[in-house]
Amino acid sequence: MAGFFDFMANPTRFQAIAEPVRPFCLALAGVCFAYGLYLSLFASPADYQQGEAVRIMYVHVPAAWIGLSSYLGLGVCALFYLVWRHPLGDIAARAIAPIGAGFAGITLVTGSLWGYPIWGTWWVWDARLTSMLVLFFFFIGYIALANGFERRERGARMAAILALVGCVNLPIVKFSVDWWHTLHQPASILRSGGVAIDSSMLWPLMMMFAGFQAFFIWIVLHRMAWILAERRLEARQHQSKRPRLNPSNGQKGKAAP
Amino acid sequence: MSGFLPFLLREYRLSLVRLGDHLTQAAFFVMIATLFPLAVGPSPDLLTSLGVSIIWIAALMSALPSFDRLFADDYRGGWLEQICLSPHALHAYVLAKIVSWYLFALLPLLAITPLLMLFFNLPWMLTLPLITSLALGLAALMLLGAIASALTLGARRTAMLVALLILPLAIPIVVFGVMATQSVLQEQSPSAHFSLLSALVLFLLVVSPVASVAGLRSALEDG
Repeated sequence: MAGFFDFMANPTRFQAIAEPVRPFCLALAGVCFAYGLYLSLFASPADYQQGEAVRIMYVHVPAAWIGLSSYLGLGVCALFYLVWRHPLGDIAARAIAPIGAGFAGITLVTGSLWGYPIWGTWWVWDARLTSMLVLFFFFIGYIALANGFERRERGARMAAILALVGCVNLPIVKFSVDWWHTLHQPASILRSGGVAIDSSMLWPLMMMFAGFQAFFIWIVLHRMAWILAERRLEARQHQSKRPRLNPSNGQKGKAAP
Repeated sequence: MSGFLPFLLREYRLSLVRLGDHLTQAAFFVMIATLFPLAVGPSPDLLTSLGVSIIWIAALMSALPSFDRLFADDYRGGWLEQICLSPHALHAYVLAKIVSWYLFALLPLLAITPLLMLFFNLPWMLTLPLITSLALGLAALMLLGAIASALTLGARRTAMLVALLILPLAIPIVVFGVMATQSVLQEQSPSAHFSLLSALVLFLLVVSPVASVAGLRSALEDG
């Protein structure tokens, strides 16, 4: 495992591998979205209770999965960065954070849109809604801390520690919210038996999930390439300034202003 | 753990100098709690049912603004670097800081709590559970505050960042703490909530010094 990380830690080598993967991911996402949307919008049945509103699920549930797993990914990148101290871990974490926040946001918005016709209200303080909101806050905290310093390396390390603390604490927060909900509110609003899902709905859901996942990988790799290019540009600007600041040996004396 | 007691003594002396700050914090606590009846109306029944939650939120909010100063003065004054150079472990310093801040800045808030209970028309039998749960909850908050304070050393807009980092992590504290007290009010056994709250304190007692030291080390490395 460490050998793999060492191998991938070279940004150029990483780019060489990531470059051909990106269009493949994008194509996969496109195909999965096209087929998944067809399945979920036309080829799947409407729910006997919820009617057509159930189709929101095909966006809502995959977004929630991606949102959750991207926080785990953030934690893994943070660990990678803290232990091996390689900038690629930080770059990956920075690439993931806004995307994860975005997916958590999509989950909240679609959940709210779904909740209004079914529950009759835009928002309830249900355990799952609340913990998704908290996850969103975690992402915001990470982004704020990573960008909160004059020096980038400092923000990277502090934010990585925060991401690890968050990963350790997230299950506790989740548990506490569940505990709070079960004792505060009877489960009157949540539909019961939502776990057993018919294959006619499971198949489009899985298709959409594959599409979301491929899209997530594509956009994270894209953002990583972008951040890498940005840093290379910074380094080059820094280099091009250097000769003017320290004149080379041959010109010493002559170039003094 | 060498040097823990001398560090504690130093923090005690420093806290005497900062007495004014701590009193301001206590006043802030009372003021936040005073705002709630003005916002929700003076109905005694309503205030009784909301009282515990309001006192909890007020305690949390009044503790938050002080955390960004926890390590900042020692960092700016060069004291932290001296500790890193000296044989004393940074862990001992962090633990002493946490313990002293908790004792001298946060525990005094508990002394005012009975007064606030009067404000909110809460029955006297709640005094002990409320103060115990607040003592545990503020300890957990203190441990989180140490992490946030160490991580934001030298950042821009520290106070905002500290609040942003602590509040999501503080959710379990509020949940277990308020429910521990509420369950007494509803004549149920609060022991499960108290156990969970204590478990949280112990858990953070393990995590917090490690994370705080890591944060302080990073801050010192970059200078």
